[in-house]
Parts: sequence; structure tokens; C-alpha cells
Amino acid sequence: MTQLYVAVLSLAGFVCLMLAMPKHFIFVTQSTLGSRQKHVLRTTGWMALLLALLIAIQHWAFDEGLVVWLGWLSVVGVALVFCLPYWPWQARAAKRPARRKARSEETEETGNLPGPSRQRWQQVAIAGCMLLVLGVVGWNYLQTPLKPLLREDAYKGRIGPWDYTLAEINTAAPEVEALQLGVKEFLIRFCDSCNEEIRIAYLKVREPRTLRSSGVSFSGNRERYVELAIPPRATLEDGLWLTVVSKQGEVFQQRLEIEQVSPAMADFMREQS
Amino acid sequence: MKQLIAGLTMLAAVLFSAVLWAHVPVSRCAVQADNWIECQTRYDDNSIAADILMGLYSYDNTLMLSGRSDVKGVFRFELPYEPFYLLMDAGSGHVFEVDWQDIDGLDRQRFAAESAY
Repeated sequence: MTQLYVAVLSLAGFVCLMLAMPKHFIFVTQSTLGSRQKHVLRTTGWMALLLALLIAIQHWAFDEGLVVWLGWLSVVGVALVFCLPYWPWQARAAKRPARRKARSEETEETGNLPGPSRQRWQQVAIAGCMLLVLGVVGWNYLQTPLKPLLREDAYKGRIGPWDYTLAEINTAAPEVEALQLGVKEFLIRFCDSCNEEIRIAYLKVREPRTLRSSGVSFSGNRERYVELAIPPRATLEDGLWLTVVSKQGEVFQQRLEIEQVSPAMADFMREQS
Repeated sequence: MKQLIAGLTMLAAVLFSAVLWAHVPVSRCAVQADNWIECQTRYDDNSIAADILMGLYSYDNTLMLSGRSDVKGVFRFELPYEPFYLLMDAGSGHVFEVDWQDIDGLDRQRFAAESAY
């Protein structure tokens, strides 16, 4: 549904901006554009585009939202350009008999096929190419997995005074790497207002015995990433432990149910133990 | 030309630096016939983690033994008489813990009575 909002707002924004140009305004409405109308249309157009951008960012975060917005701008922009000539209520163009005569004379002289059929073939080819490109882009979009932290299965919690979202990067089983140990990748994101208050965060299977043994630290700034190696005999009862240290030195620890954070990792650990 | 080669060498050194890539340290231990424990120390890309600080701690966090893994990524210690854990410390935030229960070939009931917190 958000896709529809972004598309419609982008289209509305472009239509307003188009109508804010005297040439297109006359073409569409057959009347002249007043300076106040021009100002209102231009403002409305930019506001609609901005609103579409904000909706996209709010739903998909900045990076992916920006791409979705630009994608829709491209689609509706191209659609508008190619649909505008077929506007049904446009003023009739003045006939140009002299040129028609010249063309018919040329056809008689050379014996070539008349121009319009060749133009139609070119139009069909161009439209086909555009549909192909749109199809490829759309197919790629549908194949693109949702960002881990935006998936429905992402774990949302609160540690100390901070809200966070924790998600496995993919829902597949841990990769068995060096020394036959499973490794699983996670991302964590703290709420925007509290991110600056956090110095470091760690993740570990089993309860940490000291701060030093709190596990592997997340790296990154906003979306923090960690690769977690799974001890060979760990059980689900050991739990997944999140440790967060504030910039003031406060330490918060929390036990998370492995099954809730990563069902694939839970299955792996059941088989392993 | 020399500057170009030097620049590319520097770039390669930075890109392929183990520190930059910061692989996850992992270790796996097994009981040997002489009742010693031998631990392999690696990074998750299976490269050898040599000269890594290894600390052997009792469950009350008393340091029992410390040392470093050798050039082959091996660390050996004698099996303690109480529950313990081995801390592989490859730098701040790059730590891997091996609990005695994770040691291959060690009876899981060995320290069961003393393992409770």
C-alpha cells in the first residue's frame, strides 16, 4: 500500500510541476496560466514529491526509501512524458496541407511505403523495450529481500533505557566455518535518540562471566553488525546474551531466547547438542 | 612508476590486513591422551590465529593460567581439577570463550557437581 501512496504522490507532484509551466498548462487546459496559479502549482508539486519521499523513508529507512522514491519518480516521469501527447482534450493542431502534399508527392516519386506505418512500428518497438526494462526492474525489485531489521521476524526489545531491534541477517542455518563451528550474522539498531548514548554492545551465547568475556562486539554506527560463533555444546537453555555499555560506563545485560531471535540458529543448536 | 607500485602495495596491505577485516576468533579444544587439553585457534575464515592471548579461568573468574597460541595456532594446558573456561582474546570485542563442556572428548559429567553458579 505504501508503494501506491509513493507512486500516486510522485505522479501528482509531477503533474503539478508540469502544469506550472505555461506551455503544458495551455496544452492541457487550453487557457493561460496566471502567476498565482503557477506559484500554487509549483509549491504543491514540490510538496507532493517531498511527502512521497518522507513516506518512503518512514517505511523503508533512508537508504532503501530513497531508492524506492527515485524509482517511482523515474516510472511516473517516463509514463507522464509518453502519455501526455495522447491527452484527449488538447487543442486541435492547425492543418498543414502544403507539407502533406509534399509527402504524397514524394511517395509517388520514390515508391516507398508511407511514413505512418513505419512510425507505428518504431513506437511499438520503443514501447516494448520500455516494458522490458520495467519488467526487469520490477522482477529485480520483487527478488530483493527486505532489509533484516525491517522484516516482521526482527526481534524488538528494550535494554536499560534503550529500545532496539535485533535481527539475523538471513534466516538460513548458521554457516559451518573454521573448526566446524557454526557462525551466524546479526544486526542491531538502537532507537535514533539513544544510539549516541551507547558506547559498545556485545552478543554472546551463554551468560557472560565478566564484562571482558561478554562476547563479540557489534561494529558499525547505526546498524551494528556482528558475527557470532556458536560454542559446540551450547544448548538453548544457555540463551543469547546482549550486553550494552553506555558512554557513562553503565552496563546492561539481558538474556534473549534464541528461538525468538533466530529459529534457524535454535534448530542448528538442537541438532548440534 | 615507483610511486604507483608503492601506492598499490600500500593499498593491498590495507585491504588484505587481518586487522582491518577483523575476522571472528574461534577455538576448539580436545582432550589428549596425556590428560592435557589441546586447543586449535583460528579465525572464522580458517586462517591460523597465532600469538593470541589465551587465559584459563576458574568459574569464580580466578586466572589459573595464561599464555599465547603458537605459530601453528595451538595452545596446550593441563586439565584442571575444577570447572573452567578458556578465554581467547584477540583484542577488544574479539573474544571467544571455550567452556569446559565444549571440549571434545571430555566427559560432560566430570565437573557437573561443581558447575552450578
